[in-house]
Amino acid sequence: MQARGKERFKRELPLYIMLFPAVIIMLIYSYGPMIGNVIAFQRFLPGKGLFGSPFVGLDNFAYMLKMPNIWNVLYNTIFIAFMKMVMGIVVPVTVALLLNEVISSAFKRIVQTIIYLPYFLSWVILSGILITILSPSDGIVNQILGSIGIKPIFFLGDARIFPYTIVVTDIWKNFGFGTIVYLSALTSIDPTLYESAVIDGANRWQQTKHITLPGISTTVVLLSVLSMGNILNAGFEQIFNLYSPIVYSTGDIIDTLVYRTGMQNYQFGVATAVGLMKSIVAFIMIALSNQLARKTAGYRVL
Amino acid sequence: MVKEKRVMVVFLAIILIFVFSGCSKSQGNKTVPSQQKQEQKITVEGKYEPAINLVSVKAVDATVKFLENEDIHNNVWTRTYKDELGINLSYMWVVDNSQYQQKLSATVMSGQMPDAFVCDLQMFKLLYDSDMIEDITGVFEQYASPATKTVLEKDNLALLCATIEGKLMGIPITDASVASAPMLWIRRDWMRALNIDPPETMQDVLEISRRFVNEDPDRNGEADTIGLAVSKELWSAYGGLHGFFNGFHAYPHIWYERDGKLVYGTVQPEMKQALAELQGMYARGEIDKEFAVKDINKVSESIANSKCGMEFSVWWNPYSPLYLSQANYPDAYWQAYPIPSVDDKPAKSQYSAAVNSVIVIRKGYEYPEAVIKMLNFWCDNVLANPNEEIQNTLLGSLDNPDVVFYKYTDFHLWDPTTMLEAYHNVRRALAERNPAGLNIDEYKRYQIISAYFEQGIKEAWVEVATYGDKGSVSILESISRDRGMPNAFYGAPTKVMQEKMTALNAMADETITKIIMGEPLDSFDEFVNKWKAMGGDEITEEVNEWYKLNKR
Amino acid sequence: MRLNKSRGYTAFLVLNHIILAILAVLCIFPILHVAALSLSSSTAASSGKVVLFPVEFNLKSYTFVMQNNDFLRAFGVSVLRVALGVPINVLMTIIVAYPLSRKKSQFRAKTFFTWFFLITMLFGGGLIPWYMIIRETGLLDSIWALVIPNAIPVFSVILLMNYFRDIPAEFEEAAYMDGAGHWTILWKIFLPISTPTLATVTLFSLITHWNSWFDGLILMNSPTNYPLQSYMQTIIINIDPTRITQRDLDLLKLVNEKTTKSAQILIAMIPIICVYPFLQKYFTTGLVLGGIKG
Repeated sequence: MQARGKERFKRELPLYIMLFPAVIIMLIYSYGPMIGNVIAFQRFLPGKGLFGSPFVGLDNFAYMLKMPNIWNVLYNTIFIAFMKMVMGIVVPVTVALLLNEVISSAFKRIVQTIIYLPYFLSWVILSGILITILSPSDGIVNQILGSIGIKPIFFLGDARIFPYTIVVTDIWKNFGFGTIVYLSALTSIDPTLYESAVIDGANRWQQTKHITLPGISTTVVLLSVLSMGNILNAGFEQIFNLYSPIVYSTGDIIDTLVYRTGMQNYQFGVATAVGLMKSIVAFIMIALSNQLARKTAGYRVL
Repeated sequence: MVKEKRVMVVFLAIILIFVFSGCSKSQGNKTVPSQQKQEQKITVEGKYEPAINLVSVKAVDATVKFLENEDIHNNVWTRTYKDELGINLSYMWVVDNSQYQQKLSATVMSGQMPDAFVCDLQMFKLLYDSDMIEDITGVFEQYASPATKTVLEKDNLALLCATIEGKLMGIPITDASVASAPMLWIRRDWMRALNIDPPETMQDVLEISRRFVNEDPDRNGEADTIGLAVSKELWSAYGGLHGFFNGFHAYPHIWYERDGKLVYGTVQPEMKQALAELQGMYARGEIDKEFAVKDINKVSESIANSKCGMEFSVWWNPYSPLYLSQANYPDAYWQAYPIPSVDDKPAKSQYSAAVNSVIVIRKGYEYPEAVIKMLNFWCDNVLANPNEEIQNTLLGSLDNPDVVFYKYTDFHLWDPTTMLEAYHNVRRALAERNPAGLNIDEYKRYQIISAYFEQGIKEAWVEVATYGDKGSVSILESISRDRGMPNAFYGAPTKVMQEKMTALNAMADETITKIIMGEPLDSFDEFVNKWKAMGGDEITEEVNEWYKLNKR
Repeated sequence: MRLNKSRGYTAFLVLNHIILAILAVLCIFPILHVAALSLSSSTAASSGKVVLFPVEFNLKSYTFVMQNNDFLRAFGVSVLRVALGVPINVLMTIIVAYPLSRKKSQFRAKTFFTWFFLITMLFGGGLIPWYMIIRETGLLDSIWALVIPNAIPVFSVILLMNYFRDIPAEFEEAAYMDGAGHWTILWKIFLPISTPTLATVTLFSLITHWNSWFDGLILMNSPTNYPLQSYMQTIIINIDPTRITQRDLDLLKLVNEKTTKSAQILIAMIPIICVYPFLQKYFTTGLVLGGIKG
């Protein structure tokens, strides 16, 4: 028994060595800051630090629930995240199906190349572009709308429109990626299935319904499941770079609220409490969705 | 917000004017050593030997430019501090202005403190609560020079803003408080077109509003103008309503004394008459029917499209967004007027303390007086004893107006009356057609205003309407004299205030919007009762407790 | 392969091509517009004459940007960041993914370590503790602050781990019989057949490093150390008109000109566009291979 354990350890030793540097870095830079979550239960005083600040129990959580805008922010977050999630599946799947029907491979490649590009650009760069083209006074989009008689629309400055601007621009950035993923799932469908379907007299639509869609269902489920964990992630980088106080009523999300509460109002206890709540909810969501994926698609995410 | 880009165009024009006319004039300027007689010696007391170190933090932005081979760590101010005061000023970090607050927050929150730095009032309070900043009551008394004290005492709210529980915990950085006071802006070209005299009373204002709607002031043959611009935010810096209410002796959002106690302006009975008038204006189409959904950007738009000719706003309104009118309609000219009154009692413009930031000193820093000495140096040599040579060395040279030296240091104070003085200096220079003795800021304004009158550069009207004769700055002067209503509460937000004020104000805004749009006036009384019940009374109590402690 | 060519199908094909073409145009239009702006005269740009092609073509804004030391320095910082960060990321991904891809029988602690890494994706500790630790470990204000704390891209680890896991056992068993250890199996057998996934991992890392801006803003003590995206974030000024203070008035005068800003945006995109076709190819094949296996 002992000898076998020793032998086993010897065999596994290289694996531990491989993991060692990463574990150290993670312990310091990822697990280290997690200790900071105790701030959620403190009245954090900078001079006293993490270990000297007085503990206040659940006061910060109570305060959080009393914040006048908290429910609004929660609603905004879920609304924007949900819209992004749904559109983030519908649009790429549709485009992938359409692209799959294209026969000319040159055309296909050109389209792929173009729609994929925004995915690789940062929100800083894309915001720069968006602020330029969406400007109500001299942006090209409003000029075009103006030329067909539509009054200028304040895409980034009108609270009623802002969330949709966020969703659409998010799709603009990301649908290319989704399309490529679904497209590769499509190409991996066994061609003989189609051939036998044709022999059975199935038309294009029937082929799509009975072969193509089931063929990519695993990928769809997998990606939906992965995105379900993001129900509270409405996209900090995007919104942070595009919003302004004018659109707080519909555009402020949990992450931006946490950021402002902490960095601009210096209420770190509250900010951490909100952040912690978010992490816990996200964790539960991911665990649930994982379970769900295993049951419905038989797919192990891990 | 994106509109601001257009400001650029206007200012480019102005800068061009400045550059062209500046070449010849600045030479003439140098040959007239008008203030030669004045004391030129730099006054300093108590240089540190050997030199001490002072670590600070600094924000810079795109307007901060340097001479060749210089940077934020090596420039006229770092050298001056070292040579004259024996202080080695260094920076823990220097970041872009937009990042200052975040970076400072990260630094301080993670337990690190620069020796002296500028922070906002919220952080100021937090640092006090955390016992991280030095009580400088004694140091200030002992070291501050008369000039420094004078500057800080000119704005009577300033030092109080930095005082907590009777202890002076920092040096307030003052803007002129009155700069936030509203005034009335009207399209002068429209008034002239309709033969209207400047408004003397609130009734005149209502009359102008009516005529602007009915008599086609822009002469385009369409009934497409509104009387008064109002944004859905109601209280925005422009298109706001504070000024309108002030004309009726109502002062929403500020606290003022009534029968020995502080009361909140939003819930006072004077609001009602003003609301009744607004309701009437709305019903007659003098206020945009859709104002409740039109934000401040839309107000800018209606100004740019020449759809409105009257609004209440602050003194700098021409810089943004009124310049848009003129950019699209070359003859447009907005003139500022004092808020007229509804009766024979003069109207007062409301304003709040303009201390947004405080210079604090780290608790335990060995030389807290060093900060006072740096401020003394500034006040004694730049503010109290202005002469051309010192201005040129320490503020920025007229020969190279893009490089402004004073932005290299945070340890300076502006006399809250600087703006008013600048107005008088520019006016005198214009009258005498001689810019001698003006400092760099004044000189720029002088050039621009001259360009308007002498070269007919119409874009330059923005300076004429502000720093020109009878411009908005001159109205600030009367406001600061006796036509102003300062907010009597200038402390940090109280406990209940922090929790409930936002919601209460939102309720007020909703009520006011609805009344303007036609809901019966009585709903205001209902609102007042609700306001009191939902925490307003508690807040009033808290504020009055504070008032008892801080009343002078 | 697909045979039925009814008239309806042909109509569909035509429509399909049109839809996709429009979509592609919509996607690229904003970028082309900004490119056109950057190459136009500033008067043409601000008067709204520019749509897809430069008006009054000139390179002034590019000359201006090229003389802007802040921009060039930031570009350099970003290049350095990528040069250091990407190799570290890829190396870390490989040596973490391999142990985690072993079967439980080969590596008992596998589940524990998998969770060890996964949890870091789910929980953070907030900005201040993170900042504190980076400062205490002496990385603040150095390029390493942008590289070391992000050394392990957990998402890439999962990707490569899944790929490794799907490599047929025969491959390594043969090698194992020959007495090869884990290192040899990883380096000599796994890596050579994993190039598509490695390309994907490299791409992810490259993009992440090039596009990060937030950490640079918070962790650098001077704008001269900002990476490009952080610098860009500070120049894309978005002034809130309800809160203009007296101090901002100065700044308003200097709001970046449209053409110059456009030029900076374009230049910041160049590295991505340069590696784009090359990596896109690898990235796609990598995913396709993964798809067949999965």
